[in-house]
Amino acid sequence: MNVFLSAALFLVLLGVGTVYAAPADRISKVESSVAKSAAGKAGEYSKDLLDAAQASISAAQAAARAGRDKESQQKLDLAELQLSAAEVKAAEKELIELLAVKRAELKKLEAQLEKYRQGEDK
Amino acid sequence: MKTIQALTVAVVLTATTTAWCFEKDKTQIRIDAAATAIEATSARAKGSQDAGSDLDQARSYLKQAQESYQKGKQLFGFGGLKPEAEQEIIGLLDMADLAMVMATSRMEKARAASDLEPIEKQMAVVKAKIKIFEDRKAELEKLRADASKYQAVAKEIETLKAEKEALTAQVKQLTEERVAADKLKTQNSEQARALEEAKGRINRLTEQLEAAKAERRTAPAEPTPAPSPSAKPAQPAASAEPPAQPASTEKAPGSTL
Repeated sequence: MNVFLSAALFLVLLGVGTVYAAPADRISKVESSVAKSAAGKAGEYSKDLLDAAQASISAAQAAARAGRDKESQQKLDLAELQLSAAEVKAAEKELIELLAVKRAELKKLEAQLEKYRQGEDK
Repeated sequence: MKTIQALTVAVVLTATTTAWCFEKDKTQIRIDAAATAIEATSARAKGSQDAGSDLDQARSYLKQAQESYQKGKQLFGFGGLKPEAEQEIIGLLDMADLAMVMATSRMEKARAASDLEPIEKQMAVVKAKIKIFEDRKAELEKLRADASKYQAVAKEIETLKAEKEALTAQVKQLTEERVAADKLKTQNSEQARALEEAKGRINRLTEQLEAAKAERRTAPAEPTPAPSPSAKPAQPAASAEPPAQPASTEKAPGSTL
């Protein structure tokens, strides 16, 4: 009976430990994802969203330390979504920038072609 | 006094209820605004596959916020929201906003991609036309360079032709001079040979004369008959050979004549 009770208590503590360890793992995972994104296109085009994600991670850490796991998880969800938004926004801005560059390049090429045509007509 | 107390309690209750209602309205207003925004974005995104999942996610967050709002009311629905519930609802609405930002961003990206495609096609067409002009220009430059090179070569050929003609004339002149010199040499040789022959004849005649003289000295004297008028003067003895041809005015070296 004592052995059974000890084993049960051990399992409960293990479960609790797992629950309490999960936010920390997730926090470090999200943090490394934010750091990786910051080194890429998102760091150039969506710095504001990445900063917001970092703030959300800090809030999640504070909530986890205070024992508010639900709030910590929600903040981490928000941080992940902010990270995704940063990536999507960066892709959009990069394509829009490319579009502007291509438009300017096309204009330049058309001017050059017109110059050649006028030279031919002369 | 009792009236004043009653009035005071009524005022306090009214103020508190108004505050709670305001608080409730603020969150409800935000929920309603999020719902309107999601519907507006959905209308713009009709037919867009890129934004569909983001809008579904936004709707999911909105629904969770609405459920939390209903669950989070205090005082049997007449009070304000519990602080935890309010925080949760704000978090969910923030995520709904982010999901809509992502949906809008994907739509904008798709629009930019569709704008980019014809521009890139047009660029390829224009580049191909420019290449034709540039190739033509390069060919023209090459032909001009070749033409100037060939002009220089043609001038050089003309110069060489003129030199060749001059040399040919020189060669002809030299050949003629050589022929003339050979002719003179031949003439010279013939004349030298004739001279030698004449010398030989002269020597033979001289020898004959000496011999005749010697015979005359040894032979007895004979009366010399009177020369007949028809007799011709004595010819030189043994002169069967014709007289020597007139030699060239040039005397051969060592000639005894």
